[in-house]
Amino acid sequence: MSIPILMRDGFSIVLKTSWNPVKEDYGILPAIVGTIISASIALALALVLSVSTSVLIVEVLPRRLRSLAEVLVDLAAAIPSVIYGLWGLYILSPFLKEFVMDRVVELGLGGIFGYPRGLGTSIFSASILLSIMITPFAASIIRVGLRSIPIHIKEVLASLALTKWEVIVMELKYIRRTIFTALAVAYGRAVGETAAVAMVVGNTLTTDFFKVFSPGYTISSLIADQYPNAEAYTYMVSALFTAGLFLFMLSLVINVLVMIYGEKR
Amino acid sequence: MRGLGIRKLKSYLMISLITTVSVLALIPIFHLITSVTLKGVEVISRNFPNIFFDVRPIPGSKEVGGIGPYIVGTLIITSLSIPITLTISVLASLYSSEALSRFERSIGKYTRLFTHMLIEFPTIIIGLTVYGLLTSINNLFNINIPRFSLLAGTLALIIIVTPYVYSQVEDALKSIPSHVREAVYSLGVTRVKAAYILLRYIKPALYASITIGVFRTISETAALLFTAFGSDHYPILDSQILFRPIGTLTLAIYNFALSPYENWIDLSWVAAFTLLVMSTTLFVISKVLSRGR
Amino acid sequence: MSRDPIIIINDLRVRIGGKEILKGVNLKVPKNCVFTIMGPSGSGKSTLLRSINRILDLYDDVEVSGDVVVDGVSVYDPKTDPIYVRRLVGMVFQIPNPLPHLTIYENVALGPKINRLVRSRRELDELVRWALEKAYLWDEVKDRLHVPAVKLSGGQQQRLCIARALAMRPKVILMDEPTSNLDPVATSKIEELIIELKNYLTVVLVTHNPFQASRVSDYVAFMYDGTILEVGSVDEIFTKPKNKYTEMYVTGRMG
Repeated sequence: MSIPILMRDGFSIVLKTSWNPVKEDYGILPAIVGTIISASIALALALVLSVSTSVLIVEVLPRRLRSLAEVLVDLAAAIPSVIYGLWGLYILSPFLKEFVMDRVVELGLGGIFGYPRGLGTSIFSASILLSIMITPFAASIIRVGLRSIPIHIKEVLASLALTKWEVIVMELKYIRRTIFTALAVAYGRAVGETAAVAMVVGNTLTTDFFKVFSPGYTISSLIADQYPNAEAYTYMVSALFTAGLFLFMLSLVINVLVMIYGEKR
Repeated sequence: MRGLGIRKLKSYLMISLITTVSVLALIPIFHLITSVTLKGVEVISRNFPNIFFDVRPIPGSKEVGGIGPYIVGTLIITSLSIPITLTISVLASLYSSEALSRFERSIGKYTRLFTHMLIEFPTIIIGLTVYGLLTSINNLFNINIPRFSLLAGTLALIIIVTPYVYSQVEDALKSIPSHVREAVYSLGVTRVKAAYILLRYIKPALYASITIGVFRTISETAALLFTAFGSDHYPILDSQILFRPIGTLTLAIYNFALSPYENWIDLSWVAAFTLLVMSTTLFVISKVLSRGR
Repeated sequence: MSRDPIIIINDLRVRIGGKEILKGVNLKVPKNCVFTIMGPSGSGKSTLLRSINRILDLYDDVEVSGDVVVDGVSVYDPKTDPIYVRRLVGMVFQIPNPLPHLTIYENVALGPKINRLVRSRRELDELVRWALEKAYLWDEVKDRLHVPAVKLSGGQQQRLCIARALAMRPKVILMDEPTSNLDPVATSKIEELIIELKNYLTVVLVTHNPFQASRVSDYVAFMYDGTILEVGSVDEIFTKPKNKYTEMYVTGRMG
């Protein structure tokens, strides 16, 4: 399905930044960059959040609170993404706009980060929403990893007169492959997430696509947003399929990395 | 004891820090659940109980309307896809976990690998694939299977949900202790009969995997955008139902939320609350079922 | 027992998950000897060992009463820091458990480094070498200190674990059936090492093997069902046991 436009334009479609269906001119670079930026910010936050919650649940909380927190995190992973999208659109984005983005712009940094519009839908809002969504998911994998540390390893760390925190650091190093796996899989989710991102990312193609406070696109939200009118144009369906192909290859690469470097599951 | 005081202080501070960070991570979840509930219940109370049966209101009007067609649509597409999903999953997992020859085992291995990858692939790609597949079939045979249809939506859901159910059932089959398995096979029964006995042995896990399958099915949005497409009318139960677009709760949340009309956005919250209640119920059921193991 | 005791255990009672595992243990362990706690599995000897350095703290639902005094330090005094106790008391486990993500060198260096026992890299290198020499391992690994510890054989791994404990310069070293996962050759090497160690510290060894107890020990305590039935020098226990269960155990009629 991607063939017609690849025959016409070659691979320049992934390098162009223009999107003008009237002229049958399609470039998906802004969407690719948007995908990578939003998923990467989300991953950085999710790393801190998911490791913290996992450690808290497995190593710190007393038993009663432990299962409560565990149920809450699992429940969070079970909420359909479109609900996250709705909440992100009408609650998270306006909140971020008022308390983060507008404040940063007041500092005169709008030139770097861009200017938020409307409800605050932007690459930045999408990143934060994604981090909230992928954290419970990564945390559940890391938690299993922490739990699977044999008791004799925990005993030897304690017997070497390590403090609680020093033990935790060693344990995290011990399960670093599991943490890698969890984060890589979470990154894959962030890259491919569609409904929630399409609702908060702003769905706008601009030349300012690297400014995170401005509305933008990701690959999946581009497809979701543009498909209803795609068949009205000669090459648009094909352009969207090329975007899909790119997304497919991105998640294939992530999958293969997990298979090679990740923990054997 | 050089530096022990400092080390203990650092330990205490770092543990306090991760506690704070974890609380920060959990606040949005609390907020989401409460705000969806509050907003949803508020709108529902304005047109209770008709809101669950009425159709979409005139945009921008004072009417509340309802989400009837979407609930029915979700139920139809789920009851259509789940039996097929379950059949494929059970057969495939029996085949791969009860493999008897080297050939069967290697097929099982590749199925597992493929399944793991399929689970991690973005669902929008699967939607695109179904769309592209139907287009190709239409072009090839010069026919016209509607691509925006219940049929296409069901197909996409089957492809998305089967890997989840498959890996659940397979894990359950694999966790059967070998002495039980040996006992079953030593009865001298046929493979089909043995499979039947083993399936009965993992009955709770089987129910749990159905729950997870239903949960996945009702929460899917992205792949349905250009397959099921969405519809705002009650589906007409006739022979052509498979070939017409159908609405679901997820599509309703998505489309209403992005609309500019306040009364449609309100309905989006109602649909979100309804879906949240459904998925939380399934979550609880699957927790209870898997605890019984 | 003529020598000064380094460990004194007073009426120690431990309940785990409501079940009484230690039912009032009293024991004095003299300095610079190999003191063996021997008994059938389930007698509570592992729990007794783990209560000496408070590793028991890692388990849920543990209640302890009574006290253990190590080198004048009351282990269960609320004012005593368990980390301080674990500096005094090293431990070697049933499964050879070098940390698999660390190298041979890092395994030995970890404890001293974090506990700041050394001031410089050179001092650390020296300490690692000293510990590996004392554990009879230096000659075998001196050329590959920076390979992952899991590349070693089972017996070597266990000697690495002993070196790791020694590098903390403890006064006491606890060994929980250290040879139960090893072949006879590796076992005899470790037994030889255990006898050597008492020249500079005290070894508390747990074993269910009476023959091992007779080969390495100076003193033996026979433990049964959460209590110490008999304590004495190795000769007393093996040649003229007073308790009939002890006699049955050392003659192979129980266990």
